[in-house]
Amino acid sequence: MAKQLQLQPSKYSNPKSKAKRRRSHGLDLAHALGASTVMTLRTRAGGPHGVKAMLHEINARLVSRGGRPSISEHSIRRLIPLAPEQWAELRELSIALSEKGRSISPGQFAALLIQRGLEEFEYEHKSKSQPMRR
Amino acid sequence: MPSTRKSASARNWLGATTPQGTIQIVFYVPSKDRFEKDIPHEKWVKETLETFGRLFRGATAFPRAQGVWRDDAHGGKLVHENPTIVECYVDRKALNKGKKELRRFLHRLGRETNQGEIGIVIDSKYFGITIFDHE
Repeated sequence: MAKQLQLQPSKYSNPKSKAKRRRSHGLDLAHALGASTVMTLRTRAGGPHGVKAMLHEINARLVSRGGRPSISEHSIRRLIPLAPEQWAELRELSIALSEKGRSISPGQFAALLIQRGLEEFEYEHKSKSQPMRR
Repeated sequence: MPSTRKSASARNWLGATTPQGTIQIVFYVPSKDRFEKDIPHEKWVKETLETFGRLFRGATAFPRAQGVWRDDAHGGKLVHENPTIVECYVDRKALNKGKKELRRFLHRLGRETNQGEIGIVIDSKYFGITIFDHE
């Protein structure tokens, strides 16, 4: 009698699920470590030269780190329009980040997200020669 | 062939018995505080190696790198720094098990050496910690 082969869905058959799992794991790690910045690096490091190249990429993409203040002085305030659900999400996430004696306001968290978004945008567009419309 | 099958067969012909560490962790031990004052760098390199060795079975510190960063937030000032880079490979179970202690260590380093940001790369993702837990 012919053996009926039962195909089990492979976890590799849907590439999106693997990417989603990686993103979810990245967010879980960010929360577990108390990180306020998460950045996917392009450099794949292997050995001393690779990790130095990775360090160069990190420093090129961050405003400053280590021995200097990590974010620019937040010296001006501007009104930025948001949908009610966006503000609710900011508040929820800032509360989650504010456990265990650390505190971050929704506004501070929003400022960090804006900074991170700008850095990634500038990094991706720095090679383009056309001036940006203002 | 999925990568787990390939690595399982390599483990067999190598006769390897310990867990596979495929997640790379890279940590840059800072050499200065946020006001560019020197910190006890060798002490923290030693602590990093001990922590990673305890949590992840081993780590390697490369000789200090010479680095210079242009601080655009402060008028393009050039800042010289000599970080030590510590690298290790870990399997996912060990990483999940060691998350809490890793967090305690990173936040303590950031707090005690007065850092603006502590950065660690795990599996090609950079995690920047700017707000440190209280003791």
